[in-house]
Amino acid sequence: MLDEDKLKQVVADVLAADVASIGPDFSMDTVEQWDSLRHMTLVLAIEDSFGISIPDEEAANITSWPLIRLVVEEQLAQG
Amino acid sequence: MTLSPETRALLGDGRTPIAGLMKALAAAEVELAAAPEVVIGLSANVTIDLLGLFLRREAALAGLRARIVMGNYDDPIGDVERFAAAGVQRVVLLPFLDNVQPAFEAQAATRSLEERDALEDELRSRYRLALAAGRRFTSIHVGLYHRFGESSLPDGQDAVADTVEQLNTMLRAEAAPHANVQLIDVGRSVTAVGREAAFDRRFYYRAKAPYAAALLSDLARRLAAGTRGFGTRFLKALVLDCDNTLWGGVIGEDLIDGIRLDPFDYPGNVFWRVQQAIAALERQGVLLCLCTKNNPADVADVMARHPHMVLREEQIVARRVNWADKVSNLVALGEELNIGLDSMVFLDDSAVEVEAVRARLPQVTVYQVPAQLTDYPAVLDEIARLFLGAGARAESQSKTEQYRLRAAASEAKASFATHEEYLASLGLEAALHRNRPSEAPRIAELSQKSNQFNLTTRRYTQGEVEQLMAAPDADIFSITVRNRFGEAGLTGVITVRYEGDRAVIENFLMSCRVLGQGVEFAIWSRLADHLAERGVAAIEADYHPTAKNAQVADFYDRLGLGRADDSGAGTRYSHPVAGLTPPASSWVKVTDA
Repeated sequence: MLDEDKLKQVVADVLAADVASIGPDFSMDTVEQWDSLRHMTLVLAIEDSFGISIPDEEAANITSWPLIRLVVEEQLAQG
Repeated sequence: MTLSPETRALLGDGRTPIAGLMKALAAAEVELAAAPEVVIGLSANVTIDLLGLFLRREAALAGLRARIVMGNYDDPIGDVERFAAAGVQRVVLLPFLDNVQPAFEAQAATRSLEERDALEDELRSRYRLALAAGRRFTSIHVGLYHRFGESSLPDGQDAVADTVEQLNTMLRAEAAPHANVQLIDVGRSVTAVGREAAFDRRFYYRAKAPYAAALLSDLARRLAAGTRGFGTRFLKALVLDCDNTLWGGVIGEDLIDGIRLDPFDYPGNVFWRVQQAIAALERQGVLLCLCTKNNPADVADVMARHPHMVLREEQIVARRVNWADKVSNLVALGEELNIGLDSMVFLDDSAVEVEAVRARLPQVTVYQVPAQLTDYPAVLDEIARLFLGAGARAESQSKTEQYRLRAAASEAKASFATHEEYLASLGLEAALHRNRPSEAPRIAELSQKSNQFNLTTRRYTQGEVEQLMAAPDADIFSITVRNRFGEAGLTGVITVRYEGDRAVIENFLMSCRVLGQGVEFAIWSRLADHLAERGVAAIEADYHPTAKNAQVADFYDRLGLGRADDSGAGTRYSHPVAGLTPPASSWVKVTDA
């Protein structure tokens, strides 16, 4: 089971964003500080916190909250 | 101004996840809002931004705020320029072999030796320019080349290994002339965290970011050790307990034949190994002291007679072997050696002693012999990293001998009727040198290290020292001291800037090793002669108070200079060159060598 609050907290900590602002519209396009460098850190931080390894393609593509949520859920289910 | 224990615990724990680390760092940097800032520039031919996060962690643990300035992609020469403009103090240059050219390691086998040599020449000229332009930085840390992939050959000696060797030989040669350049073996971090955990192929092939968090975290820790916590600490002495620390058992109960120190038998072999490691530290300039609750005769007996004892009397510079509490004994040792508590590491097996010291002398770095004895050698490795992380300096290697002479001299003190008589017996000679470039590294080192006898605490890099020596309107005088027991070496520096017919003493500093012998006064007559020869009419000098230099607050008063201005942050003094009469110190023979 995905602990959504924990995932939101990780995203918020890495992107220096407000947890409350994380929702369906939260994406690389709408969050100014979410650049490609931060994105790498974000992927590493998520992997680190959930003990998962996000595959190559997904790592590059999880550029919004709904996608992050989906991929992390998938990975947890596989683990 | 200091970190809360919770924040410190989060930052210090290597298992804190990245998100938690970022959050803890944000908190730490608020707590450290008033702390000094260290500005670090990162330059590489790959993306290493995450290293900045871990360097900020290390800085916070050392009580500093780090500001990270990222360089451009693969432009060390341009980066050095930009860093200087951005106020950077320390630079990290990380070349990643496989990205020197695209898939460089894969190309290695098909490239001719001529091509490899040409590439070496090109990299050499780049480093030469970057390092020469970087002389003003406090430190430049250059990563040694290391491989990304593994060799397929059984002996590992493939073309990549040859290339790594060739380029690292080049780096060593280019680094050697620069006192502020330190090489760092990134390959060791790869080994430490494991090749699988060290690299992240996803981000390397997609975004030229080959290093994974685990590697950068380890590297940041090594960089912090290599700068002695970004210049916040300078450890000098290792203070040792005896029973169950240097040997197994209690000498007062087990007696000399019962203590465990046999190199061929457990647990003696653990203690013996630890003593070897301690002896190695001593050889590299660490001062060893004893602070132990024993009968002095018992300890002396073990040191003199035990067949497996590695450490001997002459390796110990000072000792407190008595039944008094260790806190007072540590304070006394600091006073005897004239070193601060923050430059001491204390090692003891007793949780009670360790706790007492930790609680009452938080400046002292404290280690306890681990309950699991087989972990003990690893603790010594950690202690060695603290002392040697920044490299052992050749000039520091005979320190123990120097301190021992000082301690021996202070013991002899008691037998003279007057202090002057004693000083006269020392046969003190001080030589005043002017602008000797060969002394620049030691002068820079002394100016970085000395805190207590330092009138303005203006510090100099080797490059600055060399510049001042060459400048027409400045001079750097050094003071070399010897006595009949031996050489104390270069122990004092006076920097002078000339403004018209005035000589402004920009700084005067001395190593505490030779204080109290009158040298600090004796050399001024000779200096005045130099200044008069140059046509200087008046001396001006400043005292700037710091947290550590109170002992010289009235130095220029005692020297006989007049107070000219008390209004600023410090005190300005002045005096005509003619008629400067320092306090008598006829027992010091001053020479121009």
